[in-house]
Amino acid sequence: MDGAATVEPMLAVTGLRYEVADRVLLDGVDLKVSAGQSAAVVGPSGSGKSTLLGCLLGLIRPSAGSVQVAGGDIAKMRRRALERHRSRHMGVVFQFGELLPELTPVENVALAALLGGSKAQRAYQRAEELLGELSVPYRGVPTGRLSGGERQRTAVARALINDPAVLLADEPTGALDAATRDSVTEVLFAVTRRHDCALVVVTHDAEVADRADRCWELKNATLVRRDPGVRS
Amino acid sequence: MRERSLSGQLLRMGRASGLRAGGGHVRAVALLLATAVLTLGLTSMVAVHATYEGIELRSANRALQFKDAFPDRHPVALGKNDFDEIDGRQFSLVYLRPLAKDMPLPPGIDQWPAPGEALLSPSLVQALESEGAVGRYGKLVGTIRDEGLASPGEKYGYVNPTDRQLDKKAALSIVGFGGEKGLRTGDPLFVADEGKFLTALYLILLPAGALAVVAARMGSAGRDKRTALVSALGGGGRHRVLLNVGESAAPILAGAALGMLPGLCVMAAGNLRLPWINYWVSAADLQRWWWAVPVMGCAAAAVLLLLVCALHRTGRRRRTRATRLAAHKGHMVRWAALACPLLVVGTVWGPAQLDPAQYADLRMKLYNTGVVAAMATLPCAVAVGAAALGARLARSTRRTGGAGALIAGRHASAHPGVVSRLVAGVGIALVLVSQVQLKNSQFGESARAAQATVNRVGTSMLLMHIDAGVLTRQQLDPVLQRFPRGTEMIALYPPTDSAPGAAVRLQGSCPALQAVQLTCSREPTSTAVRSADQRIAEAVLWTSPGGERIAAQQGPVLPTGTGSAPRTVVLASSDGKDLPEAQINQLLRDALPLAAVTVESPGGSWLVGANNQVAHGRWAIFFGLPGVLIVALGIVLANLAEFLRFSHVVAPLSVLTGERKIYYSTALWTLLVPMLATIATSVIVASWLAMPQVSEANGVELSSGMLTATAGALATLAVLTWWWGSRAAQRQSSQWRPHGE
Repeated sequence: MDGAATVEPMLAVTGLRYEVADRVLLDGVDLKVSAGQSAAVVGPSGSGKSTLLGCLLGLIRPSAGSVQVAGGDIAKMRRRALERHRSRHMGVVFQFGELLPELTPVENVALAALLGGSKAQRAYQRAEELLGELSVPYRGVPTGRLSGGERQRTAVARALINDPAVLLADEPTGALDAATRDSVTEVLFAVTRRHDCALVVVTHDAEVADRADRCWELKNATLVRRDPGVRS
Repeated sequence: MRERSLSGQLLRMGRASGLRAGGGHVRAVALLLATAVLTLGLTSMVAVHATYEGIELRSANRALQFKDAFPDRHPVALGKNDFDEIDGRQFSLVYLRPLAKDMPLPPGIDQWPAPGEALLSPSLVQALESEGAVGRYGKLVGTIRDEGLASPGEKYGYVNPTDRQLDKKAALSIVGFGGEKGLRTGDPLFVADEGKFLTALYLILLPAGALAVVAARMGSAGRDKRTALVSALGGGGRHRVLLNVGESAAPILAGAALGMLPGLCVMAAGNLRLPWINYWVSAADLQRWWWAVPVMGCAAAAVLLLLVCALHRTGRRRRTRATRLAAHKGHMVRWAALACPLLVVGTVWGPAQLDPAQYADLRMKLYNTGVVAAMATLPCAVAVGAAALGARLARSTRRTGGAGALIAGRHASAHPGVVSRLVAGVGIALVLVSQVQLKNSQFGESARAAQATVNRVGTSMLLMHIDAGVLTRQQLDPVLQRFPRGTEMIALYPPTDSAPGAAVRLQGSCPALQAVQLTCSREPTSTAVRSADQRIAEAVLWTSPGGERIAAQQGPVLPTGTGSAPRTVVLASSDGKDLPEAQINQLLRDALPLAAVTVESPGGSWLVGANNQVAHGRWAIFFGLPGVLIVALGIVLANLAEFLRFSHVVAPLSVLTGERKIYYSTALWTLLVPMLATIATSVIVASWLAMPQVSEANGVELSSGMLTATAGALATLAVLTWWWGSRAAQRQSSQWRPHGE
């Protein structure tokens, strides 16, 4: 199971294993995604997708294996180092956006940069640029009043503002209707390619998974390569 | 068997869910505090009852048995009960001369003092020491033990009078001590009724009840969901109870134990002096009721367990209330904010426009209504101010880059209702405390007038009342001659008939009359009271109310023969400075029969009574202050839970960026700054609202010490809330996982 790429992978998962209460959730998981490439992970509920995402984010410490992000093994890092590394090199888009409704879209996006240590002026300027690029109306509208699609695009902009090497998307279109889903998916894949990020999308949606360069299915605690268009 | 194991499992499940609860176990701490406060309130009720019972018991044991009540028994002593005062508070003294060597003794003493000697309570000795007058009642030969005192801090004394002090004709025959028909002396005459005390305790019990409800309902959304789930799975009431008990039992039991500690400590460690109120609680009294303390702890724990089990929605769940306000609610907050300053100005200015003589009642009703309305709208004013500043604060982060300020600023701007609920407890607590203090410092009409007189003339004029029936001029003359230099005496004779225009007759030496600006003449010189010297006007006011004219003439203060001796002599200092009242009283006490002559400030007896009332009022503040702090704490806890819900939204960002301090800066702007701003605003508003009540002349003033203490306590509470909220939110965020809901 190898998403082998021609260039040095930004994300390289090797021999990942995680077990809890005598139950093996992940076993010998390998995954490599290079800059500008995308990978989709699909699987039924309870197959371990969330656990895999937790391991990729460093929120769950695996029993064995390594998770190399931008050259650093986050599975072995101490908490402070891990948080710094994650802040610098990783971005995440969640199913429900996880945006603060009272803030404007610019503020929501800039907030991630401010928390990442950017200067205020630079953070706001970059946020406006990204929102412009993703066609989100950001002037004078609280985020709470944006449509579902606009909110997810704002979440994509927020995930990109710290120029991450790896972008993780957790069911990014799960809460959207079909038309909005297509536009958000389009934006997600296009913008990460443009920004030269390695993208990992965890999804139930086969339509979304088919847009990725490679698609894996999490089956029996391991990743199995799946061809585009094939439904499990 | 299976049922038993299921019960155990449900209890363990409940316990586990309590341990795993997010938010730094805020609910567990709230439950612990609520149970502790309720236990403390209930044990205080027991303590009050035990104390009164002890007072009654010991007072009965030392009660004076007069011959009149026991005609068959032989007198064993001659004497009388008397009163004195220190710092404006009255207390009892028992003057007795034994008639037999084997006179029975009251409890707490081993031997009756010899003539000219005294046995005093430790508290009275301490008070006299601070005045440098330990020998005031004679040579101090010992102290009275606790079993002879109504309470450990009682001021009380047994004195064996000197021959000069003892007027055998006027003294009463005593046949013994104790028993039902005896005369109670000491504290029972001065303490408020037990019922009043128990009522005052509601000031703690009601807020404790409110805190208990708040604590039981904290983080209720998750539990309501669980309860509904258990019901849907076929679980009955018993199963839900077991789950809830399992979750809450540990903090509730710990709280009950904590609440019992003060009572148990007093029992074990000895008498306790209550701070500020300066009352000593007897450990012996509490020991008699030792069993009631654990009972009250169990009762409080039972109440809390009942609440955590009962306050859950089981049936169809109502729609969760959104944290975001509906538009009309936002409007209401804004209207209320606008009304607040108008209400404050209206309350201060409006009632004052009505004639106090005609509309006293209406004025008070309008004022009280205004205070309540101002209190209710004050949090809205702060919230709207916070909303305006919040938007600016958020905009300022474009320059400063403060992430916490950005989040909190936008939150305050979007949710003024939430902010107003957060600060309501703090604002209401401050205004309420100031009002309670003001109401309790108010004297009755006569006492207010007496205080006004004292404020005007101090002790530069005193009134000496003479019991002419028991004194001869030969007894009085040598004492009056020993009065401190500069003490002028003028005899005062009220008009003999009540005819309008009848003059008050004043008679004294030329220097005495001239000291109070009266003409010295052998013939009576008539003057209007209102144009007389202030000290004379006050003397007339307090001895001959309604007297409009005075007739002054030169003559001896004490005429020959006791029949026409004046009942009142005005003592005035020749230089207008204060007279040494204590020294004059001591002279009279040492040289004359007991209580034959008394010297006091004009209206002094009114003041003593009023001071007693004020002292009783201090208890209301003593119970009320913690009460309002408990209310503030309850509301703060409820809002802390709201902050935790709100901060949950920030968790993904803070975890992913590794920025955990964000909660401290967010809570700084969301919790601490609004609360501190409310404290500052409330102090100003409370001071303004107090203005119509404050009257320096009548001694009614807003206690700045009390206001500062309350503001300080609330500020400490605000800092604690900030720290607790930040820490709890930070811990909560560490549990965040994608899909981890």
